[in-house]
Amino acid sequence: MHQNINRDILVEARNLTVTFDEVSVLEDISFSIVRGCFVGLIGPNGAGKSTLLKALLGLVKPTSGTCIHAPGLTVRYVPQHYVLSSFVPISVSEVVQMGSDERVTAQVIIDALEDVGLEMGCAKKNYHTLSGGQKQRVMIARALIEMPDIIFFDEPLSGVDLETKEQIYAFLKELNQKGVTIFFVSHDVDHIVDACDFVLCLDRSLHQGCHPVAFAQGERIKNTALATSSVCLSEKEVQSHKQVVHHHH
Amino acid sequence: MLELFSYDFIVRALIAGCATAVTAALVGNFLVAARQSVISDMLAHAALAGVGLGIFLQLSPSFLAGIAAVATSILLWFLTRGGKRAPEAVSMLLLAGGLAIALLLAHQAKDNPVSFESFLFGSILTISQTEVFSFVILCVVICIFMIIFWRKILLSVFDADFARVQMRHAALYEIFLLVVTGFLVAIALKVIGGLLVGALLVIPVLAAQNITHSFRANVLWSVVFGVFGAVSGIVMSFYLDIPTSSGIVLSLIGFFVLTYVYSIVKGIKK
Repeated sequence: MHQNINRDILVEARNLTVTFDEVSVLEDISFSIVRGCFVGLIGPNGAGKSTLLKALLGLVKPTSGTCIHAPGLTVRYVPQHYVLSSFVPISVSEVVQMGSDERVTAQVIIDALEDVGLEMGCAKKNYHTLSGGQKQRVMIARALIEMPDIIFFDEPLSGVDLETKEQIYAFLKELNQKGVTIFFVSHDVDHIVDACDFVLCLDRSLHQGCHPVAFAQGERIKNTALATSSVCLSEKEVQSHKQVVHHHH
Repeated sequence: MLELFSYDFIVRALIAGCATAVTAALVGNFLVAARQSVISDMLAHAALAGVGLGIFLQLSPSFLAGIAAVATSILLWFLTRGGKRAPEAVSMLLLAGGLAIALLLAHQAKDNPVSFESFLFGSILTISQTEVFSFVILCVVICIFMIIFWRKILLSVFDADFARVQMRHAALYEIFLLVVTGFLVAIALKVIGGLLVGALLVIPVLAAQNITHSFRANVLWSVVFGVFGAVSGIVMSFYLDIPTSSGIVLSLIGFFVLTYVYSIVKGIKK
């Protein structure tokens, strides 16, 4: 999985195809994620978003093609649901500690919690007694504790109230400005367009020049002014002509 | 009460019972978190196949039980890896297969003086000094490894995907937990018996879950309940002349009921 690639490219998908039981889930996906960018991935249900994310993380083996990570890359992942078994008591600080290979001090955990807007008193609480928004903040704190190079988010804000959602998007933007690369899977088109530098539109394959808003309306715009050498870019990115996510034809 | 300690077999039983209870409570917390409690029962039945083989070949039943349980734990991981098969269904296959082999071998060697029943229902009061020594050493080794790899095992049982992203050899910790459970189950056959071994691993954990808010506290309280359950079971069997295994399991269930009532009265949870 680790190979020599351009030092600014953290993760690269090359002709990625995933097939489950002869049903094609992803078809010939190629793109790169460059250090420092905030990339969104949107698409309808069943488009293969989670499969693509898992393939990028090495959790799903591609049928053909490859996914390459830059050498020494530290990767963290924020899952879609609160995956922790609800019947097993576990404190917030124990959950955050999971993000580090080594034992970390209580202060490091408190700092990580404060970074995501949680009070230090939270650390000793049972994770399962928190609200949905607080639980996801804890999961983000867990991913952040060692300041990884890149964090992958798999629709982490579904079921979270609007206010919390906006606070978390604002925090993620701030985090991105500190240099953490973010790959964010969501069906929340409005927020994605607002937050991300670049947006990939997926429906088994990446859509050429598909505008995220148009995608949400069920339209597929091809060969329009938005169709550039890059694939599925947000309006903001097209305007600024930044070429950070490259599509490899 | 102190007269109890004047009997060597009681002292041996208390030492073996406490060592097994501490280790079982520690390992049991990770098994319950991984939703693999049923595996303890499956491995116990697989270990019984080793006991049957030991009786048939006139070799150490406990040693062969350990080999059978560890081999089966690795086989279980191999057959269920990558979500290919339902773990509970494969566990059922191995459980039934283990018991069938055990009964077959025990039947073939029915004239052997070693009793197969003592491994089915446990016989902690007949435990030898050598067995106590080897059980305690094995328990200490298991506890040390569990504490060293605590965070890594915890991550792999709580959130397997996150563990695989973060750790290069996350699957090793899943196998490690199964192998450790295999060893522990082989020890517990003599202490509590193959049919009740799951109780020692799971009930103290459930009792602690009624009153705790963190995994660490849950481990500590389950160790306390496990030890008190083992001691009170042995003491009850001495004074009330009841089977020791029954005494241990019923004591543990008593702790579960007490903590459950306490959690309701105090409004702790549920």
